Amino acid sequence: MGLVLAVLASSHVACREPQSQPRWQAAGNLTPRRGGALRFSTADSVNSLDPAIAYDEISIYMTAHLFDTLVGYAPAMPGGAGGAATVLEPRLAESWQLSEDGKMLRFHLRADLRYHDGAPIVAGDFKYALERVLRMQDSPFGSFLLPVAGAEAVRQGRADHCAGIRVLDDRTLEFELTRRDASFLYILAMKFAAPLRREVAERAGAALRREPLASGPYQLVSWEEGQRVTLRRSPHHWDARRGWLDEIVLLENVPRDVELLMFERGELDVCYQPPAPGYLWLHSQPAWRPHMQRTVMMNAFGERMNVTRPPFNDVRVRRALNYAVNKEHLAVLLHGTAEPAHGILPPGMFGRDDAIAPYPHDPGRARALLREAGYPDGFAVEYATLTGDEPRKLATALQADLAEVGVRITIRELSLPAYLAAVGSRDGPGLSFTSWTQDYPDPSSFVDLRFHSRMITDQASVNDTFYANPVVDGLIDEARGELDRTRRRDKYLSIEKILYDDAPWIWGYHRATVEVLQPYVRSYQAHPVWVRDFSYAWLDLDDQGRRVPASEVTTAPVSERPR
Amino acid sequence: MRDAPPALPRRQKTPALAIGLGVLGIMTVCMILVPALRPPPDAVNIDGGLASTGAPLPPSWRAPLGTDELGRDVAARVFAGLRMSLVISVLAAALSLVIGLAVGLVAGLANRMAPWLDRLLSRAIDVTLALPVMLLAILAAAAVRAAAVDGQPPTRGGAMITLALLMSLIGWPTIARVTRARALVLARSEMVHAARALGATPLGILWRHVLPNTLDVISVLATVTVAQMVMAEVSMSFLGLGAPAPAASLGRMVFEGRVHYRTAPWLLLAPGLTIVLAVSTFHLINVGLRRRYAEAR
Repeated sequence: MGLVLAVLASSHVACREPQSQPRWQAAGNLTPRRGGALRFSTADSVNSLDPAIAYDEISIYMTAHLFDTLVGYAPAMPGGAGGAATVLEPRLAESWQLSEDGKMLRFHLRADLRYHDGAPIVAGDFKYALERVLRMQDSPFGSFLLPVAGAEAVRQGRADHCAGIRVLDDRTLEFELTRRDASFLYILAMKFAAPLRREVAERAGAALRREPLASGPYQLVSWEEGQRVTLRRSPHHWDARRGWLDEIVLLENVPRDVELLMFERGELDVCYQPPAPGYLWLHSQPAWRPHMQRTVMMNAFGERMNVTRPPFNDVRVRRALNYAVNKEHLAVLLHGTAEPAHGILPPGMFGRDDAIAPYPHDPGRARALLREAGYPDGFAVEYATLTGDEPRKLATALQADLAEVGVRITIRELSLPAYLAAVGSRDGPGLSFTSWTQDYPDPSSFVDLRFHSRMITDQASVNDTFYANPVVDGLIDEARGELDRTRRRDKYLSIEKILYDDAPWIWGYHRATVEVLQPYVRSYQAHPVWVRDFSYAWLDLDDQGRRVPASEVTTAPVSERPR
Repeated sequence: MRDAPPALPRRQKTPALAIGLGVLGIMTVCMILVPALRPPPDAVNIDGGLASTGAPLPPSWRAPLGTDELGRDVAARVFAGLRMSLVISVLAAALSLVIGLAVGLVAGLANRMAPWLDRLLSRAIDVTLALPVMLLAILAAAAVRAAAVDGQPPTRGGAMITLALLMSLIGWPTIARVTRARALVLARSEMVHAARALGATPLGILWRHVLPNTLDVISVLATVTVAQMVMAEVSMSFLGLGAPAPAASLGRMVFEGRVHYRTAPWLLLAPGLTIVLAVSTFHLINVGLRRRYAEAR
């Protein structure tokens, strides 16, 4: 009884709560200034700060700030589309050249590059870091380097050094590739390709996951595991455009509804993807709405089918399910943060065929196709999804849509490890929720991994539809080696068309992220690759470096305001 | 001058029993009528049941208690949930009564004939009362959730029976203790002495003389146990025990509605107030019954 009364009482108080509004305001500075600590949180925890290991989204929040690479992405600016931040620009390398045949790539490093400890960054450190990734059995990144000559030999332990990575002098580094590869530069922008000094790595050993050698704009101050990670601006970083904040603090294991309450109280500076009720609440508050930021991210969601097993081995069944699902409904259920999909490539992605419209919602056509395929009364099948409010809500909506055409699904909720094991297995569930987020902003990061037959394994298959089409395989390989952008785009357009017709997924939607910022957080936008990258962000504080309470904001310039 | 003997306050004539039974009647009618008049409680309705932003709709003529985040009718779900709560609670209360009565009567009568049996049963009562039931329920909820997550989800009926069994664990010891106390008194009564002198068997004494004389206590206990069971059922389904997801359950509606307290308070208030009403009703009946027995004495 006490429980219910307490809950009712709190809701009663809440109903009378005045409208919510920011407690602090921007001080009104027009140019970026240094200072302040930016605090944000996550419901999960950081796994590792070793860039050769960190592959989960949360760890990447930190490695994005700690490490710099030869090339990197141009800044994502507020209001800009996600695509703007997917252009590569020079970072630790000041320039690079590609040979005529497209197989030799030579980088020239900037002068006077330093790690956070003051030691110089030299070309040999890149070679050491990449060879370390190839040698490490537990690094998920080794396979990304296979286009490099000699990489396979190091990976299998047949060679100590990778013949295709050559150090010409302290400031010149050369890569030799076995084949032309249009996406190789993107791979070098991933954080595992950051430089690492041999002595540091060998001295630290496994402790490197807690003692990163920072080459980026921030360095690690402390990591109380499961509680918080604190970063501080690195004194030796070369790039004046990045590193305005004195400190970046990530609080770990903060539940998402608590995150929103902490944000409203001003204990956090950014609130990422508030859960649906919180999102609707903030959206209903006029004072908060201008501070909500929507970013189209490079991802795809839907339902994957195992195309080797009945009933999904019949393309008519797969198309029928695509017609049966109402994608507009999904967009409503996700409060307008989703856009219906016709394939895996998200809007703004190179090689996407914007002329293809998503499968329309047409239950009549779905029933006709099912009848044609020999399922006049539909069929019953198990549907695997993840645990959580949102997957459950979407699964219930899917269940209702499919029931309309006679397909009866039993929803099975799985924890993440169980889900991954189940859907990657040949004899796992035939139909399940699926999603994909890019490693780098190139179509090869989507179609190569999810639909090339090379990625099929019996267990933990990355190609978890087990879709094998020699035509698609051929097009994928040709597109990868094609350096002419027009010809390359044409190949991806063809792949898009075939995948749309073959429908190995129920193509669902692409999801935008919503973030709410305190009014004094400036020059920040969610990043399409790193998701949360505060390298360019600054805090609009007063001259003493304090936040300005909302009531004190006047029209007078900051310096003239009475104190 | 001596004070007048304290008269029974007029308030005692308040027809608690009548009000309680009346409200119970109305709830029963609603539980039959609402599902017939409203859309099915599990029917997802995105086109008509959600705002364009995807927000649940507030109460209106079309949906008297509003809609939830899937556009489902909250009125239909509240009464479907109430029906499920009451079925489980009455089942659990009945189980508690059967166990509690049997243990209490046997222990009470055994007090003189076989003291070891009384001591054994009394200790069993004490041990059960000492169990931290809510903590055990949370443990059970975690176990059931883990089983449902990576294995097969429980069926609706199976989950309901499991829950009723778990809940009867809470109910029986109190009933047994009260019944034992009454049986102890009755066992020493002249009526029982006379029956024994006339050669009645212990079972016959229990059935013909002791049980009928505990019925007043039992009926009072039964109503309070149902109220207690409603609270227990709601708390446990709040924790995630009970019938699996699409099925409506008051406790889970409170659980799922609590996060909407600022934008859609009806998702919390509708099931919450229904729980308060249901529990109060059984308490009213309980108060009414107690008064009636007090007056009769």
